[in-house]
Amino acid sequence: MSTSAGSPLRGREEGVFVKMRTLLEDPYSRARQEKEKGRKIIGITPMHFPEELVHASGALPVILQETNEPITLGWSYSFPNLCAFARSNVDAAAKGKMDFLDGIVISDICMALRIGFSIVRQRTSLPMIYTWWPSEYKFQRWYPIVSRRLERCRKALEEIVGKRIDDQSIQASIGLYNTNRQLLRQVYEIRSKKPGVLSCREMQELVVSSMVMPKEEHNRLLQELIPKLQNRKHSSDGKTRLFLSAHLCHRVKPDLLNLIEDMDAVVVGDDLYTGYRYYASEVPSNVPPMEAMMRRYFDSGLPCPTKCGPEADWADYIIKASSECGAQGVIFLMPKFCEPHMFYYPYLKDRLTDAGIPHTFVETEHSLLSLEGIKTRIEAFMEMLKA
Amino acid sequence: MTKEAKKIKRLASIARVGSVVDNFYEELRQAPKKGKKVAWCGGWPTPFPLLRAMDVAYLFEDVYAATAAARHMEKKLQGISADKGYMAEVCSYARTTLGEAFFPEEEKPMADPYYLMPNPDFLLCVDIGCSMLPWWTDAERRVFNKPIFVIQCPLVWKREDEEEVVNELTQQYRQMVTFLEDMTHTRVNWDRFQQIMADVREAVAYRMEALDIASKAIPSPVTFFDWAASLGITNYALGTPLGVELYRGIRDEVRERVARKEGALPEEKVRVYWEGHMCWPHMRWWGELLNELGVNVVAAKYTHLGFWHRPDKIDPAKPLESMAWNTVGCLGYSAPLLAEDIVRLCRDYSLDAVVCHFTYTCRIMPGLFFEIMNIVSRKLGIPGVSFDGDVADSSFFGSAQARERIENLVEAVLAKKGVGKVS
Repeated sequence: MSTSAGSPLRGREEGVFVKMRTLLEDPYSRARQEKEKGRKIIGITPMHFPEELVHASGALPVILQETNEPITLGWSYSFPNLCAFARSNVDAAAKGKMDFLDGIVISDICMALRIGFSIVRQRTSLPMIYTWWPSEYKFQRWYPIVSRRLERCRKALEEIVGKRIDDQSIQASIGLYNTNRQLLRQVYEIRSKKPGVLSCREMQELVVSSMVMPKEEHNRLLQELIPKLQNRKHSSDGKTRLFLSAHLCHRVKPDLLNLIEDMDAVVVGDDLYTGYRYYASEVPSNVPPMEAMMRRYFDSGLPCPTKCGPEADWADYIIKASSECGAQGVIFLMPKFCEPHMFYYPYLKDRLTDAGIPHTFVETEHSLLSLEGIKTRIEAFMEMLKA
Repeated sequence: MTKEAKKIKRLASIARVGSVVDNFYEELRQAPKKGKKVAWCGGWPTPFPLLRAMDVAYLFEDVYAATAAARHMEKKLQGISADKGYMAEVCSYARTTLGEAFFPEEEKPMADPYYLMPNPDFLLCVDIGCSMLPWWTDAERRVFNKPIFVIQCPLVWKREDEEEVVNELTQQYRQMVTFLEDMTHTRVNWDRFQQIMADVREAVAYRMEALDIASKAIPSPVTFFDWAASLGITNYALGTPLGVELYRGIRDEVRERVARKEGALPEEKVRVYWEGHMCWPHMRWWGELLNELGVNVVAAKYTHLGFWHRPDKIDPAKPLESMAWNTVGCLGYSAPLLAEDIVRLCRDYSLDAVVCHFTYTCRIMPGLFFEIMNIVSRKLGIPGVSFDGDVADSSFFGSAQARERIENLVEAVLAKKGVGKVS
């Protein structure tokens, strides 16, 4: 099934999105162009590694993506119970499609990533840097371990890139990346205030493209786009306002986003990784840069189900965020086998029910065999919201 | 061969393990009445010596779930967690203990005592590379609203990283002492802790010696299933004189059997390494199948590469470091390092093949099987096969597929040995 939520954008703005959409279809095309110019390219696993550290080395950091390519060779190396992100990357490595990279930083936050990229390591000859993050919010407790490991990562990156990464360069990169986050938040706020001014699919295109293209260029595109969005007329009258939640690590299939908004609905807020989660918070600028990047991990602006403890509660966050943007309902999007989400979901479900917030749940997979079943469920959910 | 003669020779010395388990749970149920704090612990069984030293009663969640599955009592608990919204793809160990956490109060008066575990005063988790463990423990924190303490083990990516990981774990165990002192309002008695650690060392030294003797012997005098059952001692009696006595008894019995050249199976045709979890709900079925085909699981990740398998790294004078060394278990190593260990076991114990239990709800335990087999096959030229199943959820297991895969493997091994077909 193919659907297409109509874009309210025309002309040059639409051109910006065409450029970004290309990066969803072939996420590393822009990186390969940079490679041809002689720039080193470093792949990073989602969701928390500070891209700034790679950028400060002069290399282009790209957040590795689940691609559209059907998984074939990858099945020779992994069992089917890894999430689609891990399986897709194993498949890409097995097919030699990661060979344009100069190295990979594994940011170990989840065993699916750990297993998946342990297999990638066996399938490529790329230099790989293993980094590890604890599943807690307690900065003080983990600072000695994380700081030592991040420092070691800096040295390993220096070896790959052949250049010293000094604090000043990191600070400059932090500034650039924080600007990107600020600009993306501006777009998010515009969408919250003017629902429908850009589609959910387009919102995701803005974020995914930011993950895989030079930030300098992305910032320029956003600076060009934002005034046009602010001036653009929009209408979301009568449409059901929705909040999309979850879908960690990998992007949502554009067809699924289109399907949701094609049903007389408009997405007014989200906490998707390829959404608000990516730019929710900034790296603080009032502490030394290495420490600052670590601090963002422990206080990344919104709760992450890969971390545990009472310091942050994802349900509290969703209830507050969805209410603030006037959402009438919440749709949870969960990639199959996403363990952190699977463990949190029953609690989220109960808490939202107690708070009187209608919600539903959609499981996604690498190959969406049919959107019809999902469509029926979302239609039923919409009818319930309108009743 | 008569039916009687085809029986597996079980170890007599593990007969007491069942009562050790039952007594443990009875004491656990009584613990709150005796004023003891109760901890629910997930993950690796490394904190138990410390908990014993501090008189904290503990529910070892992974083994509670395994025991439930082996006793066919898991479905009730998994049904409760399913009703709460936990999906079938969630670790079946976790779904089992979450079922216990959500067990309805109104059903308790009529419930089997196994379902009547005391609620925790706090939660502990030792994550040895399975990030699901902290998330599982956190889900229980949300149920009980009790404090949580997490130990986490970064992956040993390269061999030279090992010491750093051990230092990081030691640092975390030091923090665990402080946490437990806060929870129990008592100071740890270090003399007692060190004595317990000495008992741990003695017991696991017997265990590893027995494993080594039995695995080298052809035929091997013990089956995988007896070794798995004997882990009850590690999980329920480690750090006690009883634990030492039980493992010494096993070691002695193994020695005697080897001296008599007595195999556990009537005929041991094929010797294999078992990768992945036990298949707890189907232990009897597996025992019968392997016996029928003359296959003995002589070594396994489960028994040989975990559960305090490094007595040489236990120093009673340094109990926290000892716990740290034994936390870097089988899941804490990257594929090439893990493969090194498996190659060593296959070579040292003259193994013919590798069998992998693909556990549907576990991503970590079987996850590197294909890569490990690539290395093992390249180095030793032995075959491997996987079958679908699960550690504690019988709905993912298909006996016909499992039988066919094992039969094919046996045919291949016997053909290679030139000894004909399976009888």
